[in-house]
Amino acid sequence: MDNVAIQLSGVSKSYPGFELEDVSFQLPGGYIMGLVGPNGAGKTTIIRIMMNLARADSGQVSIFGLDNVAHENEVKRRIGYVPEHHNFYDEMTVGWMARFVRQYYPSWDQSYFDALAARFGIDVNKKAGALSKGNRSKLSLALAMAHRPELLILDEPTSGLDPVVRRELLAELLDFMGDGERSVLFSTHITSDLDRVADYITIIVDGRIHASDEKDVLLERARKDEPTASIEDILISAARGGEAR
Amino acid sequence: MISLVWKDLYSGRLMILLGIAMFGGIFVLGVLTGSEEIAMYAMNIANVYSMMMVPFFALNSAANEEKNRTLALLRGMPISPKRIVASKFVAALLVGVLWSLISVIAVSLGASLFPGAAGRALPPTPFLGPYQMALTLPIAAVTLIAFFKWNSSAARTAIMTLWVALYIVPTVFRPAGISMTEFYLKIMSPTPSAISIVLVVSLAIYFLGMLVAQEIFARRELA
Repeated sequence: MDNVAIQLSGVSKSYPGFELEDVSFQLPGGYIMGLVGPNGAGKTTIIRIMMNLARADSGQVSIFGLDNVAHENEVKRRIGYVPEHHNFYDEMTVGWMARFVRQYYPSWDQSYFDALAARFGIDVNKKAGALSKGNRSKLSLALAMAHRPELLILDEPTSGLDPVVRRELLAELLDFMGDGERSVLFSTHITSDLDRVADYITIIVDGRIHASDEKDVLLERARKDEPTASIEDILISAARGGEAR
Repeated sequence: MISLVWKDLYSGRLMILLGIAMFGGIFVLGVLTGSEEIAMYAMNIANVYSMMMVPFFALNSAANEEKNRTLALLRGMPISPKRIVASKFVAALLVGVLWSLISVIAVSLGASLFPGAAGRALPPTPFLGPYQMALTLPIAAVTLIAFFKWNSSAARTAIMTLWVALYIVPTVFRPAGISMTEFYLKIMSPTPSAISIVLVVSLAIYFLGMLVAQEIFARRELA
């Protein structure tokens, strides 16, 4: 495939008590992939390896066809990253954070950031430390999207958020995908989010890829045995040691 | 890198402004009351702060980064780990240079306003501030290495240990027959060539420390 946003080949990483083993999958450009698995399955480790925040023991990660370590800055300029924990300079204002972040992204669109902040109801004069959890998530997403990245990598972006905020964030994601040239990798254990937005699903359990395919293909396979099967059912079956689909 | 340095200077502005307010307030009080003692006290504050500014600014900046967990934020952006490290070293050094300048100006001003104090209460040279700042550069370098290798708690331990060593080590090399007071007075009355040598050697150690910290941080995995 010519247009591949993310390609992981045989990525392994071990920590005491945890092993990520031979992880391979790819996300074609222009699609949303849900990376789903139980807590502790290895979703965040995969994302940290992709962002070069952790180093793989073996295997290769390429993003936009480039090695993510050798071309780290070049790759990161084209990525919007929302980590699991939304870390900001808490004593600084939202506006200051945006001015700081924008200096590292040549494609930063200030009017788009302002529009996102207004749409999300974030006061740019407020200190980042004074924001609620939901608003911290929204700020993180706004900062990640304001340079109009080709790829968004979101690590549990909806975790701990109320349903209203979750729905707003997911709507924003779909809006972001509007021109069909952008891609999203979205890690979550809330499978209902994926039902709404994902094109591809990768299921990871205990550090191993259980399945990785188009969402509809996965559902079709699962529904041969269980006509009402959902992504959640596939995940539960995988977590209980079910056969890979 | 300028924005990273500026961010550190802006975050640590209270430390700098408080120092200026302390020194400036007391100095102005000395001038207004015509009190040589108060003015001399202000100059000593300026000199002592020259000694503390670089290591403690570096530590403060590291602790802030850890409190906010923003090293991970920076590493998630298109900023190389080496640049992140360099910015911490450069920001702390800039603060040291600023304080050195303040102390040079303070002592020079004191000498012109209170000529009677020259050679008595005034520091022996206007360049005592830069000299003292230079003496602490290796401490700041080790503090930042400890931070980038482990965390701000390790950096705090490093700074306390090295600060004590800064006082104890000279006693080991004290020539026989000289009291501690005499020896410290000698150390704190440097000749121009001694000031130059200390500046050059300390700066070299500081930048070597920066290279070590850059290598360490580039290999470090962040949670």
